[in-house]
Amino acid sequence: MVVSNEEIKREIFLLKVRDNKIASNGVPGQFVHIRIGNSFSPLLRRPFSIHDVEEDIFAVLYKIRGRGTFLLSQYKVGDQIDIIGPLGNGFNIEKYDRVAIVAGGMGVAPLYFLAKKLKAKKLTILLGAATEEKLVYVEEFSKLGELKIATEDGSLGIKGMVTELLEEIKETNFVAACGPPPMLRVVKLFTAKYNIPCQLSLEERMACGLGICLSCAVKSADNYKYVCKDGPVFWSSEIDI
Amino acid sequence: MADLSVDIGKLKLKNPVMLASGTCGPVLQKFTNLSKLGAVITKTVTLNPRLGNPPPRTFETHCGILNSIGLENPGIDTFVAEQLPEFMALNTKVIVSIAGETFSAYVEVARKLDNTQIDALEINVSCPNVEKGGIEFSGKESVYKLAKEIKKVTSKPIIIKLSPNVGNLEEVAISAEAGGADAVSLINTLYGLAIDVDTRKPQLGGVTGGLSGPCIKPVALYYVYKVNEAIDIPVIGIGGIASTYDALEFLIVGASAVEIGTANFINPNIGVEIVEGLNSYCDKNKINRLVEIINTRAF
Repeated sequence: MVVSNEEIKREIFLLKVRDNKIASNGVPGQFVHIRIGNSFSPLLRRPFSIHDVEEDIFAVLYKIRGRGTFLLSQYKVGDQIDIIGPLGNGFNIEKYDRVAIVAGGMGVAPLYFLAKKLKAKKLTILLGAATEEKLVYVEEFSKLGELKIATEDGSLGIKGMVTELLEEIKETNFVAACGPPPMLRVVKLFTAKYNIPCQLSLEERMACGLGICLSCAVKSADNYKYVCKDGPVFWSSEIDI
Repeated sequence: MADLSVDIGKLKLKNPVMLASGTCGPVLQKFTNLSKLGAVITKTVTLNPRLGNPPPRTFETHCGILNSIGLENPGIDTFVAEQLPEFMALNTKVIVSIAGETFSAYVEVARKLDNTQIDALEINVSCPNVEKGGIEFSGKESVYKLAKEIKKVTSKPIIIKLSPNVGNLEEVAISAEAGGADAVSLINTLYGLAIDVDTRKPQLGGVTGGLSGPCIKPVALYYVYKVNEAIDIPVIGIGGIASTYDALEFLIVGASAVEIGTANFINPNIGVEIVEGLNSYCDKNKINRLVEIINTRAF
């Protein structure tokens, strides 16, 4: 059941749903598969990272991108909603003490839950977006670790891409990243150069979400892996990006 | 409780609801009870492993999906060793979908499956997404030859899954029957294309794809109706079935059974819900045996 569904920034919504099974079993990096409406348009479920959990309520953070997310934004408090989850594999980071999180744009979605759950001694968070208007969770992240910001127009933090802040995290011993593929590519190269273990949370068009349809393929060394069942979180060395 | 059982030749099903190739697997057991279904059909398996097509592999259209998976599978030997046992443990009938890049590859895969416990073979001659081992076998001469050659090496019932992307489907079905097929299933996906207008590139890595989902149901129903008129062997209806009502439409125009495909992605319990819905329909209409409604169209 929908507990709240608020626009926290222009076209960016935070949906909270009461569901004890997902809230108690979900780990950072896993996703839920939401059927939006009950007609055939949109047809397929839509996958969303688990963004936050509090008691028996979990949250997803989403941006209006098309008809599906627009219709999701119309859900009201008290509405029933058809959700399968938690699905996929989350981040695996318990043994690291100096951790960095790199989030580009809506890549914050899975990483806020991760930042909250981390027990690392030192946490550095690199947050990037096109403009200050599109940055979310600045205040919340600043409470969880050392926060550094980049915006493409320079409206907050340094002017440029979030990847220009990577030198700040070369002393960490684990990096978790989510964002657009070009950003992930740079993070993968950077962490490989400094030999830092790195996990990436990926996105692909998905149908079943259960590893049946083989839609959400991502290239690995000599075959394909699947975002829904092998990911969405992968070691950066596992995949070609 | 009505008797929902149907016969596809010598293949006896406890009800006519099957889950289509590429849309189901043992993992669904977490969300449904596969043993309540008539049968499950595996993802198509070929003689050698196939990597599949580059992503993106699916694109949602209005009430449908375009897909270009490209028959990705681990090859028959790995399939039999690693995947088939999980299917066989589901306590339902298991039909294995097969394809080949050549006539002899089809026959070889069928032969390798003959000494397994599977219940039937579905011969996929209709995948639109591969250069070899798909639709080029869907003409009437190829289908006749395949049915005849495969029947020589297997004791299992064979179902030929037909493509709507070739000319005269009735003639192809007649060829399948003449070649010795036990049944035909139709339709596989329809050719389709979608474009990203910003990049002017296709939305699929494989460029073109196969269209499935509720949007194709009228096309599927039309072909089932026409093909059923043309042949005496059973016809299995596939294409956009997502409700009991949809399944009944197919049965009424002559399908002996149905396959549920895309709808499994939306509701993993849809097959069982349709079985229950068919039972309720029979009870409400005082029908003791579901077969009494097959091919009972009033026109």
